[in-house]
Amino acid sequence: VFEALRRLFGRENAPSIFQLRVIIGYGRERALEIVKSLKKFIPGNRFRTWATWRGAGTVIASERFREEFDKRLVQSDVLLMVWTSDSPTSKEASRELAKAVELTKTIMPVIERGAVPPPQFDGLTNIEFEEGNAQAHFQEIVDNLEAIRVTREGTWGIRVSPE
Amino acid sequence: MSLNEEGIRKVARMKELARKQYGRLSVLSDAVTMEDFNPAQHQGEFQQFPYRPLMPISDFNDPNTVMDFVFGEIGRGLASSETKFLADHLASSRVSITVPKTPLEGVLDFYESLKNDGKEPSVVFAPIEYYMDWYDDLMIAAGRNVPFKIASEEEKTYLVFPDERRLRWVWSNKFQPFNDFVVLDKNWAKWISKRSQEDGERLQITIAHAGDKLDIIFRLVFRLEILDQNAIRRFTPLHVHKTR
Repeated sequence: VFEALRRLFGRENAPSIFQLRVIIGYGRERALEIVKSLKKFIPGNRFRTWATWRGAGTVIASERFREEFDKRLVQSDVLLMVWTSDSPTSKEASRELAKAVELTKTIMPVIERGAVPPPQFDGLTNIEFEEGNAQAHFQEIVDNLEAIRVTREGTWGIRVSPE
Repeated sequence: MSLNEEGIRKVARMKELARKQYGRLSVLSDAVTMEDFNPAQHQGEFQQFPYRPLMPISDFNDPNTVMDFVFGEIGRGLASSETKFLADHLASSRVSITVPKTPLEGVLDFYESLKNDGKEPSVVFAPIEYYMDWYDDLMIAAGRNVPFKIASEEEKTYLVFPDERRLRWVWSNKFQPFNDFVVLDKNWAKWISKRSQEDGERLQITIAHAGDKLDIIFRLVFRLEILDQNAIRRFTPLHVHKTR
């Protein structure tokens, strides 16, 4: 998949130097197990991942957690937000999404089938998730992260040239 | 190889998503005055941001290949390149002043300074290094009860004053780095765009067949004319407030 994507952009021989930084957020506790498994699944050679553990049963995060999240978010390229059916009441997730918008991060919503997405996801490309088919969905997520990574290598810092 | 029905649909989606994401992030509407190219008025050389990938037609034709994130990132990358270009120009157009102020105090002082000169401030470029301290600064300097606040609409962010006036707010990042705060009136420069002759869009997208690939050119064609360097204020704040 990675090589196919590199060929897609005609960069077969280009060395891969860009490591995409991904911060993984979640709505509520039900998504925690998904986040833990997903973090293990994402390959470390091309992606640096950080997941936001607020702690079991924690609804409102501490100031220290928020500060740590904000610092990590500043350094990240993508906020991957796992949204389950118990997520819409999560104030913390809403705050994290607002911060990602402010910092113009790419947001990748991963929505459990049947869950109601928040307004912040309007107009964004979503990935649907079903627990019974987790591995296939994890692979789809990694493929899309790789698509973002390779596209960024090619498009960011495009130099100006004469018309 | 030619595009099938799915491929034609995906090409249309590529144009839609790249332009939508570019439009959501472009700072031009707040950072410069904009005009469309008119051959009778605008002589001289133009510049461009070009991005030219070769993409396999088979990926467009395959309904199982979802490329939406790729298309969005292309628009995002072009908007970011544009912001970097403007920030570089601003850095070379005006000397930075170091001031014994916090970031918010500096922004408000230079906002007033521009107003006193008859300007209308429209945007702030802010170095991301100040991000964490900025929120402490907002809380302490503005007070919890009469706060200035940061608000976003789609992916555009604004500093909102207590009386609802607002300034577009642009944080730097590793792809569009800048080291100083800049407050400006968008009349500092004019951005003349050459639009697509095919569909009138500012982000031009042309597609040609190249064997089993599509040769796609995304480009923004423009000329930047500096009108008034006195409409720019550039500064480095010496102080920060810390609640931590």
